Amino acid sequence: MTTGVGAFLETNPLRAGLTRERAAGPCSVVIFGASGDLTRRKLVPALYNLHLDRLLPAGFALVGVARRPLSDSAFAGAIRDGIVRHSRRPLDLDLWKEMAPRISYVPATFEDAEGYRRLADHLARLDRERGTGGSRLFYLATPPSAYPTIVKNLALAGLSRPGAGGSFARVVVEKPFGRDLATARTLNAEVNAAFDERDVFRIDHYLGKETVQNLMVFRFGNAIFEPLWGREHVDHVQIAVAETLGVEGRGEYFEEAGIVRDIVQNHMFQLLCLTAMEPPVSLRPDAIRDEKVKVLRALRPVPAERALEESVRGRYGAGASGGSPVPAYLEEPGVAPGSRTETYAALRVLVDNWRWAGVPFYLRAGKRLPKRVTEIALTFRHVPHRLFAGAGASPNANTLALRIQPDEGITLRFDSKVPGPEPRIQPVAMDFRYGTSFGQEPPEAYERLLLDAILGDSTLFIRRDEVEASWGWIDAIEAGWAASDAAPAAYPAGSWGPAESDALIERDGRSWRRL
Amino acid sequence: MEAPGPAAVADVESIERELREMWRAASSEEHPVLRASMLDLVVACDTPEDAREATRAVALLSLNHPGRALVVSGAREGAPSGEALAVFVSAHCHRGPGETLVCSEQVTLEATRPSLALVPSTLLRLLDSDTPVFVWWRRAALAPDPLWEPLAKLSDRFLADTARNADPAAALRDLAALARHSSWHGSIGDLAWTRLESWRETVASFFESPLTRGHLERIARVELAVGGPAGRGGATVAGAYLAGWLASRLGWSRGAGPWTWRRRDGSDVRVEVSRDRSAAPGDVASVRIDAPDGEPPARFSAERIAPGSDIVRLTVEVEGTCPLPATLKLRKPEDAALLCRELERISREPVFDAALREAASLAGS
Repeated sequence: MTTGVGAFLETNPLRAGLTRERAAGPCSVVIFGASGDLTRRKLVPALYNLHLDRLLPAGFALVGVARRPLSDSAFAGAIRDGIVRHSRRPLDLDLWKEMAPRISYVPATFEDAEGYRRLADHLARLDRERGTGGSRLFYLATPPSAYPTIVKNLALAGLSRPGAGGSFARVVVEKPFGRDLATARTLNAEVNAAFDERDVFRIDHYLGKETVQNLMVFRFGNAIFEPLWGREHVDHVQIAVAETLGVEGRGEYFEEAGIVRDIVQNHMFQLLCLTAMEPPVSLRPDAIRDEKVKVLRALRPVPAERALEESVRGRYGAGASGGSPVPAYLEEPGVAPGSRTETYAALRVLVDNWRWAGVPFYLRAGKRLPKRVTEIALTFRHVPHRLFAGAGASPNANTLALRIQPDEGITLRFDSKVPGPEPRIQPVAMDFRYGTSFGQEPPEAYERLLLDAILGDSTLFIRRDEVEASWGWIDAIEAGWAASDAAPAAYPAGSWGPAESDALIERDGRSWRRL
Repeated sequence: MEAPGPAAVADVESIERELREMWRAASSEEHPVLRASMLDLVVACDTPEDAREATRAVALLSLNHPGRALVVSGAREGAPSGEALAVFVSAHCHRGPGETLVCSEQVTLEATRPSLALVPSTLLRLLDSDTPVFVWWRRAALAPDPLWEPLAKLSDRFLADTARNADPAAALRDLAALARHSSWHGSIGDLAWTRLESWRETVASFFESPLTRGHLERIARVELAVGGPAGRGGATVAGAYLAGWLASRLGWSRGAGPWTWRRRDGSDVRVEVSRDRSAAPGDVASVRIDAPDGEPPARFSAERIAPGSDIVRLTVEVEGTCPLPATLKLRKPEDAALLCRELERISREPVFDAALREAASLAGS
């Protein structure tokens, strides 16, 4: 085979200028936990939509691995069902005929070494018969407790290292990445014993959202915002992740996690990093991740004994959501009667660096809140001399809100003169809505992230040091809460959280935004 | 959704007044109408019938590219020859976020031959401020047309479709000349080129694997079967673009004969273009690439499984290994979809410019 290519052919010269300048090379995608919910709802529809957009290579195979005995055709049938039910675009029969023969199944338990040998033989056969080129992407859609066993067995079967001829062996790991700093370090060590860190893709689906990716474009692609983006002009920042749902049958999982481990440590800290980071020197994955980790390292540590002053944890009681009565958290299936797990958290976070010194970041996340909203809002300082205070000028300062979901867009609020002879002032909003300017439906986050993992682009994935730095900060808060006898503050389902949360921000002379 | 129906108006002030009135009438407090504008799109058509066809594409485009469309055409049958411009305003609307109606506006100008000279100045007055100006040229000829120069001048991006042109070779040369024009800083797009993107992508995909990448430097012969009118020297637009693209991307220099090149290592490459009557103008029926002195020799082919079929069979035959057949579906893109892609680009595209230069020189050979 012609494998020794010169510098001219390091990248494919025919790819330049195409709409899709990046194309995936041949590979097999192997999903562990192939019969699970994540596979059916997210991964399979994402792969199908990539296929529909011709983003998967001709030499492509999908291999499912799970305990249940299934034939290739039965597994392909389950995949088809997942596409029909959950894909954003309907099943195209011609395309399905092309995709179905690429799907196969290897029944194995995660502990069974023989199963991994069979998997290795199967993948080698696919290389010959389907032209998958010796490259493999292993997707661990399993409970985190299975990760160490799977990666260890992949290594023992010789599947965790790239083969010859530029092939790759990568692993995608779903959150949670540990439940504290110690377990995260242990997990990272186990994963890195099998796979090089550059081949480990820790997925946080928030980073696959178009609006989150637009944060960098907004900040670093426009000259007018960045000069305002710091302590000289910003009074404070609020980041909110509000959900209307409760634990939705995941009571047992949520009991172990709580909102801080489920949302704050990963999604919210990523939003915080993208909001606070310095401009990266390039768009290379590590250039961006270096800047994010600097933010995490600049977070002012909160000693455990001060955790209750800098944070609030809450738990929803019975109430109403969207006009229907809903039970209290403690009445949800799988929740322990004496549970201390929080379903709401509010945090005051300080970033001790040149840009953000003295600017508080207020984070709040909760379940059973009145609305589903994810938003980052920068509130600017007031003008130094309020000339129009008597003319009805807004007591609130200018605000720039970046709505991540739903109704994705950007809103700038400022004061304007009401037409007429009197000097009357009213706040107005300048709105940009993605749905108005760009009619097309954006791809699902998993589509982008799966493609990036196949391409080996780790920009939107979490690096080991990011995980550990975020746990380092969260651990102190968790320790402070664990040391307290107090139960989480109560709030009725369908409200905006406990009164203690309002007090946390009002103590600084500020208030939560009405979302 | 179209709203409200067109109304004839006379001069620029009346047009602006009519547009304001249209927005006022369409909007209410309960159902606000949002006018969105990301671009100006000037569409140059020969006839009112063609303008109507273009309007259908503009309506589809307004979903993803809201803006002001200015559609220019010749006058309808029976219009008095001395009459000034006849102008109509209308809007294309769709449901945006919430209950909001998001609308783009269209101004249609019908010009008799004597009033054609009034069109550029009218357009200049009607363009939205500070948005990029795209010109979509649908008229029969390029450079000989009196609107060509003024419209090209005002455009930030000039879009043609040389495959639809009566003299595609001349159209390629005109576009190449515009690209070379030193005082014009816009960019050029050709729907005939965009239409080939799925084929270019298919060819590129053969060489994605490290195992086949090196064969790019060992190509000796390319066979293209394409549809469309023959230009001078047998060049069809699709053939000229694909050959020009391969030559410019792979660093080939022109050889002694027509449609021959020299590879970077000095060996000869020959491109053979045949016409396939089952393929539509500008479309491709098959591509075959031979790399007989590759290590090992290899042959790559992509061909429709039947005349006019959407399904394309891909075959990679590398000596000493099993052939790897695969199929894929190449949907025939509608003009609106092609245009949509072109409106997402504003700056010059070096890959296209290089392919255009090669294609124009082939068309002249």
